[in-house]
Amino acid sequence: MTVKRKFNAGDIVINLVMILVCFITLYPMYYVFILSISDPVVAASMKVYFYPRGLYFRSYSILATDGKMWRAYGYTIFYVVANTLLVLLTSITCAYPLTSKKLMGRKFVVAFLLVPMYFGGGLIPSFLLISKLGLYNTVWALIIPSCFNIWYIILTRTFFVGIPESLRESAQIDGANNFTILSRIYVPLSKPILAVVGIYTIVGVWNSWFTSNVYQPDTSIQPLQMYLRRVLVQQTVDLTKLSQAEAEAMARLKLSNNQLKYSMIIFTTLPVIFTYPFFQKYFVKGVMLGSLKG
Amino acid sequence: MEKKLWRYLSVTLAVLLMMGVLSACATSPQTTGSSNKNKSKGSNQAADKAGSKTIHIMGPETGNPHIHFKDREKYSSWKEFQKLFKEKGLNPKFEVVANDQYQTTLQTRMASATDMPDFLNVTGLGDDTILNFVDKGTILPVNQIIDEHSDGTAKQFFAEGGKGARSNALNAAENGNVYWISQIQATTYDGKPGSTNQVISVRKDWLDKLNLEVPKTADDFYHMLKAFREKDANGNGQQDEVLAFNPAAWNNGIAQWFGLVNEISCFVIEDGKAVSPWYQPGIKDYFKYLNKLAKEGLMDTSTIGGGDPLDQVIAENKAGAIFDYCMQTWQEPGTGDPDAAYLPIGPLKATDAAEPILAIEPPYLSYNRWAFTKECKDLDVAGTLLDILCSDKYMELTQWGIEGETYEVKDGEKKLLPIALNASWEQAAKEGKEIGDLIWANGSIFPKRRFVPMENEISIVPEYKAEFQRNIIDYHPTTPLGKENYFPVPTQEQVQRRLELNTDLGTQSSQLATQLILGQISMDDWDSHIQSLKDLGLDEILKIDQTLLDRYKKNVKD
Repeated sequence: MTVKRKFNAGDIVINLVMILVCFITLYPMYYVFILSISDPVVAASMKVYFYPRGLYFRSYSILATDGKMWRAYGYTIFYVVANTLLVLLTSITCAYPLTSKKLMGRKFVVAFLLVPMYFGGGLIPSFLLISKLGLYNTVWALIIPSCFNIWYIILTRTFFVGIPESLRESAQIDGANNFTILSRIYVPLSKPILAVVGIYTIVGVWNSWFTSNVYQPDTSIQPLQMYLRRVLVQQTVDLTKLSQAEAEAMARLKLSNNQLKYSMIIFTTLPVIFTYPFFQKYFVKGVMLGSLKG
Repeated sequence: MEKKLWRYLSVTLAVLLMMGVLSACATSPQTTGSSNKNKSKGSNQAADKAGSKTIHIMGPETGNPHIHFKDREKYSSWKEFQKLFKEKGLNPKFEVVANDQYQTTLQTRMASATDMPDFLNVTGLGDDTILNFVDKGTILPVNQIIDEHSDGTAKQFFAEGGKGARSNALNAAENGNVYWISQIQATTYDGKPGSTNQVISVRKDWLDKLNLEVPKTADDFYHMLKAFREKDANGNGQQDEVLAFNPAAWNNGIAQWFGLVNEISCFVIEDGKAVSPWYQPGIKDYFKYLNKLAKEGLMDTSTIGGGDPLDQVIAENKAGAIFDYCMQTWQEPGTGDPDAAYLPIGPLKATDAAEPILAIEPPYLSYNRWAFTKECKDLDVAGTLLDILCSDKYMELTQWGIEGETYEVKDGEKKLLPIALNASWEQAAKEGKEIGDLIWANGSIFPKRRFVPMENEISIVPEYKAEFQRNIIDYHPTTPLGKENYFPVPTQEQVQRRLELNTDLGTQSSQLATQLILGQISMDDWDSHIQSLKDLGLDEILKIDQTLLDRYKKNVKD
């Protein structure tokens, strides 16, 4: 027998608040979308509010035929895939030994991992390190340094600790070695936390631009966010602070890029939006499971 | 199936890791990708020839939408320029960084002293940073390179009486050494130094439409703005026509009508005394005037601070008046109105307390910086490069290009052809015909040497703008756009003190000005407002600037 719950004033308030939060969350994205397909002059005058005015798709066709943008897209996908796979690999392989009570110096190793989470060397020491390793101005500057994330290792370790020890013991009795236990028992059971680590890495790498700004002066290997940043930065120049010849060049660039930036934002956001639903099943379950316990 | 998936995944991961390791091992720190990427295709051939010396040069890509340094091989001016390198046995290796990224690249490379080029554009470094590098020996003294390694060309250029003498004097540090060279833009009109300027421009088409006279005083201007609004000049059925400018900045056109200089500390060129607008006689009338405009809605207060709101007002075709270069032609397309025409006016008489002044782009501009780093071990190469950059041929290629392609000689005078003028960048890029200024100079890889008569620029703008420029050319008094063109290199103490004072002082000044314009604070408390600026070091800033100005007058002969 189902018991019908009464719909009271509190529920109405909660629902209204949730609708408001949804609107606040979704409207900016919708706003950028309708600006991107509105007439450029109307868009520049910011007269678009709830629906597009004067349908205009030329900025999308300009982007679609822009070779530089597609190259940036390709490199971004490469960085995302490489980073995600390597982060998952390092997280799993570093977290597993830390779950073993027999590991010598385990406490010391955990403390050693925790310290860099609070202190960093800064930009110039990192730059020196990247340069000396020969990674400067190469694609690997965006992959190798970031494929090892202490926070994700801790997260994964905490999840592994939650898996019953008896599973490991019975597998050992059956003759399984550590690699077999890790690959056949721990990893299949860890899909939620791996999904969390995966989606965090994908979104983080997709959105990153600062590392490329510092370590990759060559525009041909830069990710998509750098391309977008370039378009946006060109819009913010104060023309009266330039000489007359420079002001004219920048003014022309500003005018032609004004509409483009909205389309670019949509282009760069869509892949991440499409990726989320595939991970959602694990993400909802896993995001709290990996939290630190005691 | 699952086993195969694991296998493929493992192989992919192993390959990725191996590629990373091999990549790191294959390149040594001395030859990182930065030196190898973006090599000049032409100079690769030169590198193979015996006897040519290599020099690593770094700079930002040009900011031009159509003309790019990376496409230089298609321009005939560049091919001629390359011959200068070949004649001198120099093999330049270029590293071109995107314009928006250059400052980050410059700062990280210089701060870490890693993989520094031999010669580079150091404009993005502040005074304090660059003087620190000078102290550490990271940047080499250019005057010593010229004295000991030039064949005489650079020496003559920078010597007294030479075209670069003034720039050299401005770049001299207190110890007498010069640590960088600058680009030079000297404008003449009718054979004499001539300047362009920044003024208020009004909608000429609206004046014609409403049968209004061009304003001659600040009062006329006020009435003109009212008429634009009341008679719906933009024809959209709303009274939304406004003055679009940034009143939070002193350099806004209207402040100059009240005799105010255009920075918190600046000077009237004819006067030679550092002064602040806060101390000038026209200041109170200025705030009263702007307060009146703000109260009556004739000024869009959302544009205080400039930026996007300002662009938006123009894009909405509401701007009855704007502030920009008098010969600008880039604001009209932004209004979306095909009839839009901005007529420059002023400076208008606004108060009996002071004469209106004009903000001018100094006729002799020496700005931006290029320097040699300690990575440049062979100073003969540095001297050779300087000789090239100071040669007549380089000047000709930079400012005129190739005769018959980008300029012609008529009645003994050089004149730029239409393809080399600002309106034709796209066509110039297609045909490969452009002056060097746009390909490799103008704040990019090399400094420009531009000694061009203003008549060339005047000839391509609408006649009403050209007429204004011609008529205003001899106007006095004037204040400079960019006081640094009159300031030699400050000492480190002066740089440090300015850094300490400028931020808070600038914020307080902008805030006070905004509040007075909007009527949020009263002018009855004037003394306490001034005292708050004095407490933040206004007088000290003026003293520092006066010292620099006095040094300039002593070292630079006009």
